[in-house]
Amino acid sequence: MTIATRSSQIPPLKRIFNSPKWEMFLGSPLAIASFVWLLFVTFVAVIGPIFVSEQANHQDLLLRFYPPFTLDEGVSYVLGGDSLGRPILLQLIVGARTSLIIAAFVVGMSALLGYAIGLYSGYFGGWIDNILLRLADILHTVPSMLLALVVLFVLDPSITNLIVVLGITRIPVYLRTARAQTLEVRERVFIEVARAAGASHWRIMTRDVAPMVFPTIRTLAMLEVATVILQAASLTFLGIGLQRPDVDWGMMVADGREYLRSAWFVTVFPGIIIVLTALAANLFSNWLRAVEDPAQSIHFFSKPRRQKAE
Amino acid sequence: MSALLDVEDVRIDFTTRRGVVHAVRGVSFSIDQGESVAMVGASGSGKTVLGRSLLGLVEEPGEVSGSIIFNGQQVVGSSESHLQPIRGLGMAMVFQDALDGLNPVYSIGSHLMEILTIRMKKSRSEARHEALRLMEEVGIPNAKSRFHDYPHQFSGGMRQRICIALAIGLRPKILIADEPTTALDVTVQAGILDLIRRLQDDYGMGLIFITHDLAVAQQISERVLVMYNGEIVEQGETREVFQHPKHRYTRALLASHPAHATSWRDLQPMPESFVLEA
Repeated sequence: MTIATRSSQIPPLKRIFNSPKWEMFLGSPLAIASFVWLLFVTFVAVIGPIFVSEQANHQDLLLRFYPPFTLDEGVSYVLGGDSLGRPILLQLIVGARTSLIIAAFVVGMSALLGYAIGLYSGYFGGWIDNILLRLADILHTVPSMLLALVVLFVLDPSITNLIVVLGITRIPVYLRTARAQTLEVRERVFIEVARAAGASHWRIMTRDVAPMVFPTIRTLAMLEVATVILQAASLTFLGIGLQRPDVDWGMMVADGREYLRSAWFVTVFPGIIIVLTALAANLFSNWLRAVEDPAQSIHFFSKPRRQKAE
Repeated sequence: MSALLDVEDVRIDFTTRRGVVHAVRGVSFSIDQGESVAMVGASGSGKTVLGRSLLGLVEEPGEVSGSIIFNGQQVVGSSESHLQPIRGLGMAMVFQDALDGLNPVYSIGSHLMEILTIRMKKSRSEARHEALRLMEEVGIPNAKSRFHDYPHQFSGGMRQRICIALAIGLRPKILIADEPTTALDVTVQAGILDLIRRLQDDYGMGLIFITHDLAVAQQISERVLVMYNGEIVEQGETREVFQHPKHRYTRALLASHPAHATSWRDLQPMPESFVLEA
């Protein structure tokens, strides 16, 4: 491709569809599947609750543990009813919003802070690095569940508090990774080349080091989506996470645990949704990482390059 | 008299857990505009760290003392903000390890664009023209079609050419080349040396060429500094030094070099007493 085809005269949408990344995307069924699933879940989480939040909390004790895969009680009960006869399908839809909000905010907050602090700490080193790292150690040593338990016990168990507490406890995961990678990248020759060309430390950290560390953090963040959903679920299970009538997928899994023998579907459906979402997030982020790394993408997607136009 | 670059009694010490290492022990030399100087010496003789100290790039635990005056400005002990106009714009550096000299996440073009827009304050379209011109100047064929390529798509020799383009793009007064051909094979090496010599002429730059290869030093320089164990043991006109070496080390160095022998019997191994521990 020539310089001309990259220029800004071409509308952005067309540029996306012409780019080699788009071709790679079309060539990878796993990437398509996971992207579509994530898109679908997000769509449902945004649109769904508007229509079904009333019915989702409607209890009908006659439909307690109503078995799935029959349409006799309408589409709402196609995945069965839970312990209070609420329609599992609608609960899943309403729960999607809460779960995604918690996951997105917790992961976003901890990843952003951990990434920034890790970069700074690894790049500049010195006593600040030491203090930050010890703080992260302390945070890491105290079981995050215990910390969350105490904090949520003292404060009100609300979604906001849940997000803040989980967000803080997950920071060290990113901080350590970002720092370790920064230490490695910092010693590479191109950093020295940039120094010799007169780039400031700040510029090198943000322009040269940060993009090298970013793909790892992004992959880690996607992995953490599942962890966070499950952690929120554990707190809910202990009774200090979400409170009814709020519901998320983790809470549904926790609710159904007691009845696993008699009514498997109460636990299994939300469980499957959690697994699928986490899996999709992982697969998609892995694919993205491979594509974004120009050296790797050649190995991963060994399609012949198109002839260069002169 | 004041030369473009005046180095006076520079010492560089590294404090390690096992004591202080004196990497450079009191080195003085000076370079005028457009002059080419080769710095030769064995590995561990301190030539690389000396080259880096000229740009204030020696980092903890290294400590530089003495005086390095470039264009009337003191480098030793200067703050980052004082060093910034010197780095790149005053003296630019080409490093030894060409394979890792470019950031893998940016394209070749954006490397060049970055320094031209930020350091040279050019507009984007000016910078694009200049970047393409530089790529052609350092001998990248089809510069236009390779503008958006990434470093891994370039061979080692071509990456080093881009590193050189990055250095000369800032129009420095002095180019410091730290063994720029060590990572490359011999045929590529000849091309890079030609390139550096030609660019030095065209741009009227001073050149400090750090190398352990005597033949290369002889080809490229007007003056030569022979370093041994952190000191300059001999300096002078290149031809003079090579024909009438005064110091024992220089003599031993030349006697051990195949270029000066007609048969292998003439080759003299470096005397044991000169071999550095490094």
